[in-house]
Amino acid sequence: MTTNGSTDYVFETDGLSVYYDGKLAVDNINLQVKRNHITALIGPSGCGKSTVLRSFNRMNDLIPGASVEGKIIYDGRNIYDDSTDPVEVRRRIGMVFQKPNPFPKTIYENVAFGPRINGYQGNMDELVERCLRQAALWDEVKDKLKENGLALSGGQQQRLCIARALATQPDVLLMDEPASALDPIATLRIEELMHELKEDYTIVIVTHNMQQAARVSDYTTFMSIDRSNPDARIGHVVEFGPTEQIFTNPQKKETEDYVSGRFG
Amino acid sequence: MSTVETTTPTTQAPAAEAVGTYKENRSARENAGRIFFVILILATVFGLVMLALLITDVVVKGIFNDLPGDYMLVTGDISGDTITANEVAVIDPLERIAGSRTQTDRGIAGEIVGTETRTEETRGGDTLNLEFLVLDTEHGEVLIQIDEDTVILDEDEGETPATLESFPVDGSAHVMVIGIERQDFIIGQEILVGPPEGSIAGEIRSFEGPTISVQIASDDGTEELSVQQNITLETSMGRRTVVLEEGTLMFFAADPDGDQTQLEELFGTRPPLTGTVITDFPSRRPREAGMLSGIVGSVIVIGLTALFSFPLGVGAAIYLEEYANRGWLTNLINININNLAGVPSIVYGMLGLTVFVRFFGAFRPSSPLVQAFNIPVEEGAVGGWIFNLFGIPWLEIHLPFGRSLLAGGATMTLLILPIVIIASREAIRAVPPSIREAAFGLGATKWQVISRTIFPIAFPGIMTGMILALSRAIGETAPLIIMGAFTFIAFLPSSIWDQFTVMPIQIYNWVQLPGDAFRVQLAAAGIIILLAIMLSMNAIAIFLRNRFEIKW
Ligand SMILES: Nc1ncnc2c1ncn2[C@@H]1O[C@H](COP(=O)(O)OP(=O)(O)O)[C@@H](O)[C@H]1O
Ligand SMILES: [Mg+2]
Repeated sequence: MTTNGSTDYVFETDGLSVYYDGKLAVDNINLQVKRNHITALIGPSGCGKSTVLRSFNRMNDLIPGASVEGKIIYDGRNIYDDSTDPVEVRRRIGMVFQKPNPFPKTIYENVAFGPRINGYQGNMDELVERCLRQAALWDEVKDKLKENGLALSGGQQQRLCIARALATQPDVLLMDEPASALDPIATLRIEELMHELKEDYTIVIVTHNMQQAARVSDYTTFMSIDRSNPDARIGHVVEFGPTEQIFTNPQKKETEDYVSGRFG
Repeated sequence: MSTVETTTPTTQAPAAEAVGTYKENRSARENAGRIFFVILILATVFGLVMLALLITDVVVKGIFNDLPGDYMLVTGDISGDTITANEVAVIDPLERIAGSRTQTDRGIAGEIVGTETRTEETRGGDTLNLEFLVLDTEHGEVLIQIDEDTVILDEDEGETPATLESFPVDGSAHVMVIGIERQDFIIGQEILVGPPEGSIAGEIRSFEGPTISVQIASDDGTEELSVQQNITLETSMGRRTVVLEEGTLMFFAADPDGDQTQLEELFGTRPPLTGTVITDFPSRRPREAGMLSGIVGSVIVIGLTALFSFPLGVGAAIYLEEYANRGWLTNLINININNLAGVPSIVYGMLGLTVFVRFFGAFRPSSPLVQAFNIPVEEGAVGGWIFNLFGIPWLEIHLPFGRSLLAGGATMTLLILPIVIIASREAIRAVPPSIREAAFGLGATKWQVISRTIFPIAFPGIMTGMILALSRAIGETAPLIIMGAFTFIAFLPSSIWDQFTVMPIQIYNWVQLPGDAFRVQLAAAGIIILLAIMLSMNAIAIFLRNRFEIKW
């Protein structure tokens, strides 16, 4: 793992800790997310992957009782600075959730929602088409843009959510197990899509599926629960590096156990 | 990586297939839903048509055609032109003899000295033509209002018949039977039994009860007759038992049709049945009575209630769900809202009376506030402090509100506000958290999340709760009676500061009046109209719920 010029990195976290109701959930996370690459967060469930991901666009602010310590440098600024507007952060750092959650509106209005609330001035039809094409959904829905987004299949709904996230023209896409609620075929489509999106976006993906992490990501972060204090269930980063290295030549015993399926 | 690339083309076809079957299942479900929806609509339309038929029959007062008491009944003989010199007795079941104030003044005898038409203005600004008969009686000249309920007894000209002299003009009532022979008092005889409790016509079926003595007046003088007190009549509305008591009058119609024609020539024709329960104002005459002012009052009060309770209720719900911090104050408010939803409506009437109608008495002429600031208050029903912003009539403001439409709407708002808040909170809470996250994740501000996603999604639920609450309010009587709504309003309001009545109060009022025409027919008609309005409001609520509710 090499530290090039800091502009290569979209995010750099510095001693990030998150508390829920005063209880430490993840402790002292230090990692970098490289521009135009896919970074995967893997680890056993409950180790704090989602927690870390949600702190990248300040979604934890919405949870009553959640508090964050440390820094996340994005674009040269700490997004947890008092002067940073969380709304602006979320506009530039899009998010796709585990369960597809389209609005109960038309397909068109789903995609147009973000641009509309942000006062987009350009041609909305073009933007909607471009985002649906980027999300590889255009051909399937171009004749039914006025139909309800909820009428789509699960995989289509998730791609609609990706198109919706793309429509605010973000820098980064955060994806929290985007394929876990989908069948294998829909999962493959989402994975292909991520490869295409990598050209224009930086992607951070949480997955509990190691094959998926191996298939799609360039860098992998392995997180786990601190074994020295198992009752507190505090998440921390065990190992971070290029995906290839994490899966073929892990530096830590714990990582090796996990990726080879020997994890407790 | 390579596995992904190679498997993709082969999985493409099954992918499309899988999506296809999924869609088909979905559309089968949608079709079932559509069929159910069509059936629902057809059933609703059928129900509404049946209801409409029923209502048309009720509102055009088809049921009043057989009303007793609507007959202009004449016994004896009226011979054309000479009527002005005739001795007559006029009996009015509804005490519409001008100048008569007491309960027992139900009939009067005298000589007809003329007829008169008077034009009176109603409070609504309409003019009303009233026909009067001028009668020279032992009490002096008396004006008697003539209408279809009036019963005029007439005897041969020239004579002063015993029947009329023995008539109870001074209220010392006897049970009195006029113009019959003894043998007329038998089963099968057509008879009309008069005041005090309205009047009713029918065929005598049976006699029951204790035997009493009645006076029979005829050309040969008065005689006593023993008869049982309870007479059962076969009437157009089924069997009715009439109790003979002091003041009861009985008429045996010999040939009412022939005489009626002459009366029509004299006093003008009977008013045709043009009005309906929906288009008539309240009246003391059942044929002319309607609930127009009640319907208009209800619509305006409910409209004002909707206007006030929607922003207040929805605003409170959004605040409590989205903004309020969990704390003892919020808990206290929550507990209170839930308790208030169960408070008896009459309590809200008291609250409305004190707060809106009277403003705690702050604008009474004697109140310290008025005296300290020298506020120009007016006394009387529409009293208080009236001021006019910029001189525009509809910007007039009355303090306190008085017994006005505005006070009614405000009282009803208090009554349904807890229900609206609870229903709205329920609807807002039913919006899945994932939708909220999705909107926040797109860079929406809190207000954008609420106004663009939560509120539109919760709106059908909010509307359903709102309409159900309003349809409860439209049937509420107690708070408005406490608040001081009127029972007899014969004009349409010109502003929200006017006095008013509402449908249930009108019905309540009719039920209390004597006479089957009010108690049975009009009250029933009113209840059917009220029910029809309530059911259609509920139908709209169900329609909204089925049409716009989101199935996740
Ligand atoms: N909203 C929350 N409130 C309280 N505790 C939470 C909340 N979300 C997550 N946690 C806790 O934080 C820890 C990490 O959870 P999470 O980030 O969801 O893990 P993962 O995504 O790796 O499964 C868990 O112990 C979980 O119980
Ligand atoms: Mg998770």
